Amino acid sequence: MTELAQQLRAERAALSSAGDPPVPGWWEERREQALATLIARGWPTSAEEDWKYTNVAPLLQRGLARAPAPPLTTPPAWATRDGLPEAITLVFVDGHCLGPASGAADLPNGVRVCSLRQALAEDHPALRAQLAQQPALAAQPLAAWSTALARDGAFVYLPQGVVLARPVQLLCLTTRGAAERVVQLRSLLIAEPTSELAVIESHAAAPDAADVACLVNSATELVVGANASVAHYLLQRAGQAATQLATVQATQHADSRLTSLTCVLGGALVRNTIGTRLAAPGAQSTLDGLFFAGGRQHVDNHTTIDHEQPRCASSECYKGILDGAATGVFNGKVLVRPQAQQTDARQSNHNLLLSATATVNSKPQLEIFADDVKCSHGATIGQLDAEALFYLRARGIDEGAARSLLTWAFASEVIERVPFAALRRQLASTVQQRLGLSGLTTT
Amino acid sequence: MLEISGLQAAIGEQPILRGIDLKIGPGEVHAIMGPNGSGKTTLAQVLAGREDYDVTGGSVTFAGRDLLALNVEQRAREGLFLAFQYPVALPGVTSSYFLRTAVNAVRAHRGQDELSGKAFLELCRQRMELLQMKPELLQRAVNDGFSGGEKKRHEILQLALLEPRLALLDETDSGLDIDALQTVARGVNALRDAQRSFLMITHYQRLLDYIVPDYVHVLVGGRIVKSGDKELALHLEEHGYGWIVAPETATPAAAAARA
Ligand SMILES: Nc1ncnc2c1ncn2[C@@H]1O[C@H](COP(=O)(O)OP(=O)(O)OP(=O)(O)O)[C@@H](O)[C@H]1O
Ligand SMILES: [Mg+2]
Repeated sequence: MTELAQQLRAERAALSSAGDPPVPGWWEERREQALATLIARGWPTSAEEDWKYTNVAPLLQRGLARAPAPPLTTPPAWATRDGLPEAITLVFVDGHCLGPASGAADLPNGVRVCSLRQALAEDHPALRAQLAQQPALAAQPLAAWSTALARDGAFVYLPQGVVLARPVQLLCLTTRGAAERVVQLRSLLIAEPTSELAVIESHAAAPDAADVACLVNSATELVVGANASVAHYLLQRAGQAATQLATVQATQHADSRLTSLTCVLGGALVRNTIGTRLAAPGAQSTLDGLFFAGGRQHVDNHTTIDHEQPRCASSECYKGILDGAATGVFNGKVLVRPQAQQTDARQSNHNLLLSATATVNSKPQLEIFADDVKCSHGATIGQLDAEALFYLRARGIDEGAARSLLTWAFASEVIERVPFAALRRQLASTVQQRLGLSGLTTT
Repeated sequence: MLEISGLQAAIGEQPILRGIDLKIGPGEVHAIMGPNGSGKTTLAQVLAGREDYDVTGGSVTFAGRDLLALNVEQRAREGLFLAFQYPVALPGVTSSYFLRTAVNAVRAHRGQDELSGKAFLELCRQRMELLQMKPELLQRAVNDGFSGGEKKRHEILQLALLEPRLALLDETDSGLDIDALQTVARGVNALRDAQRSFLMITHYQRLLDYIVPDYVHVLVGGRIVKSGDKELALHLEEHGYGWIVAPETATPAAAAARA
């Protein structure tokens, strides 16, 4: 057995003997499969095209404690402080789900918002049908890792036709207890046909744990039923020493709508792998993102939009702001398969370099095998607009403040798309604080 | 107020201003006219501190200080204001935040307290009323999707809020309809006093009917080739620039004929 195999097998054995409630046999089998896949392919290395700019192998081999952090028994007050009060909320601290969802008293019939463990204990039928069944997710090594070893995560299920007026919020927090440890999360979000769901997946460090070095590896799968609509907001404000690895994969059925918005505002090393498969005609996806990195931060965004079927539309806009000696990556793959005629795919990636030592690698990757398609892409890497800077300074605003203001303006375009005012304010104030701005409101 | 002597400026190797002499006293209104490309905007931008131009000669004194030694924002805080020929759109920056930041930057420099949000809005409302501007504009991104006329009024609104010592208006009248022109002129006239000076760049004599200048200058080929009073503008309106010949382009014969 290789070293990796030994290590992963040992972790998995530890998991089974951890005294967790038993899980259905089919789930044990799928985890075993994921483990075998990961062992067979090994950790991603920078020799692989998709991992060229982000070498996670040393980090993963470093031997962070794989035993999960000890669970907290009651949700601490800070856990929900930054949350949306009107949301249906699940709190995860160091990978453990704390209690049942709050704000879930009067959910429509059949709606489930609970921990994955809870759903497994019930052997919810949708789990067996959908959990870890997407090939695109299984192919991702970090997602396989999470499938094999995560102890918990979220399960959200909307039956056919249910429009959930309030968003579901997953507050994933890390404490000092997670220091030098791996935190795994594995989630499944299902919106059955014609239902509507908004999920905010928010990752952050506890107030006293901003300097904690931990590694969070999450995998979230989304199933968007025919004519259903799902919005997924991935908000990452990890601590300055944290590694944040996230895989999000959606399968979209006919005429479904997916909105994915990712905001990366923290973490030492962040790697997001986000994909959607437009698996039936008429589906639409919007993938937007904002990443703001400074110091020695490294943020890697890999997205894949797989146009499998005709008459689907996708639009993608990622914006990056890089300061200090930070590095950013945008790799946006758009695949239009031969049968995906009348595809409309638009992609843009705009990056702002605020210092001479910051770098960004922007790589649009369009692979088009159908002929009747509209595809466009554009990438820019630049500095702040000199005309705009002069205009502000000509009004007495000093150069530093003018730069901050224009940087904020660049970021705000993405932040303004978050439909929840309280969240928008939070994200805005995080960005503004980093830019040393005050008194700005979002529109 | 402002004293320009022998000012020369270039873009790269290309000289644009070739020795400008101009003196503007407190409370005076000067107008500069001249053909397209003669250097009017360049002059205004060089005075405002645009770094794309190299000042290759001459000096500028503003309110007793060496203007050319100040950076862009210092000039603005000292009371020099440029209304842009092409105001710049700032998507994502609301007009109210922009205006308030600018007003407070200038106030801080003058040793005045920051205006509170409420006091600022009240001041804005007053000034906007004078310029017949819709208050909703404050919530929009600066110049983003503004009509030509809205942009120009927004420039004058900034002028009214910042209360500079010297305002340079670069073709503020271009693109305004007749009513808007009168409104803008009324706004400018309301700001005229014994101390505040104006330098207006325009192509049209009509503006000068509403804002009557003390002096009119003609800029051709980067030099002021003629100065006079408002009658000069009327004469230009009728006869164009053809009868004035820039010294460096004058042929010996033409120079002799003039002499
Ligand atoms: N950034 C620049 N790069 C190159 N040339 C420039 C630049 N700015 C100005 N010029 C040139 O300098 C000359 C003067 O331009 P300027 O804009 O000052 O003219 P103007 O008198 O304001 O004209 P208009 O009446 O058309 O506004 C023109 O020939 C112009 O092309
Ligand atoms: Mg001009």
